[in-house]
Amino acid sequence: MEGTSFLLKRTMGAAYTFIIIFGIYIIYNGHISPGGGFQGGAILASVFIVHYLITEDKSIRFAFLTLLEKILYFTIVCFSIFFVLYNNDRLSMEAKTMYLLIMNILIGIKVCCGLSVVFFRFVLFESR
Amino acid sequence: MLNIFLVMTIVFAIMAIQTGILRHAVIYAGIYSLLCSFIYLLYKAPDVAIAEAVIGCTLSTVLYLVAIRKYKVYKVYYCYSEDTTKKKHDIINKTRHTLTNFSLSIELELDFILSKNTAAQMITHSSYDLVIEQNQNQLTIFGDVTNYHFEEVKRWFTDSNLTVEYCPLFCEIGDDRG
Repeated sequence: MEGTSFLLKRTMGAAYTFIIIFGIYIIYNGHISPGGGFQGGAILASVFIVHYLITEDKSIRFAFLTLLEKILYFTIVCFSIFFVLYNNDRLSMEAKTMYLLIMNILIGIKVCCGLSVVFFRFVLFESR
Repeated sequence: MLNIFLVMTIVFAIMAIQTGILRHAVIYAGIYSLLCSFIYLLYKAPDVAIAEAVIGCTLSTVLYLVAIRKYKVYKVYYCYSEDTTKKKHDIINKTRHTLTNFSLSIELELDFILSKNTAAQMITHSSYDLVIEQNQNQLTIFGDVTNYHFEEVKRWFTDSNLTVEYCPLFCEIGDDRG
């Protein structure tokens, strides 16, 4: 986006860190408070959009993001199947919390990658 | 409280449909999404509210704005000199009015930019669809003749009673600006 205004650059540059912290907070507390992997991931993806708005830097590693998303999807499926197969009454509360936390983090990163890929694909490549 | 916000969502939804300018419609839709997310909160569904606020209000609004910017913008630079009098402002308003009607007729979004640079600078340095230069009471319109909207613009300006001079430019075929 050429000619971004100075005001936008400064305010969004300041908001940057807070968006990241908020996204991580939502993912990390997903199992005890509102929010979760998907919401936190979407907030983290908006960091990429802010980055696009405030800088002219168009270098984004598509192949890496796409690959990471695929790997994470596979991991999520494997991990939940593994947990369901081994889930019984012997598991402690901590183990279940740990499972939810790990799932939230994995889903968060996956959604972040997915939405960024969608956004940048749309912005940089689709044209008339 | 809840009823007020429900009525406001309806108002903003109707405004988003009824407005003629696409950019305003996108902003109204964004406000509608934000109100929706607040209503979810009042219905004690904070989870859905967060998702709605992030997806509906931020991501989709930005995507729509980018889409409008990419496909549907008719960019006009208006170059004028420093010493603007009352009469010159009249001309600017008239031109803007004509171009707004024109852009509504061809369903494009008008991006009307006032500039104090000269027309030659604008033509060489930025991407444009039309550059208009005001010289006293005379308007000079620079436009790409390969752009098929140029003839349409001429027609609209003959209807308005402004004194206009046309200066067609030729661009290389195959340049992909915009």
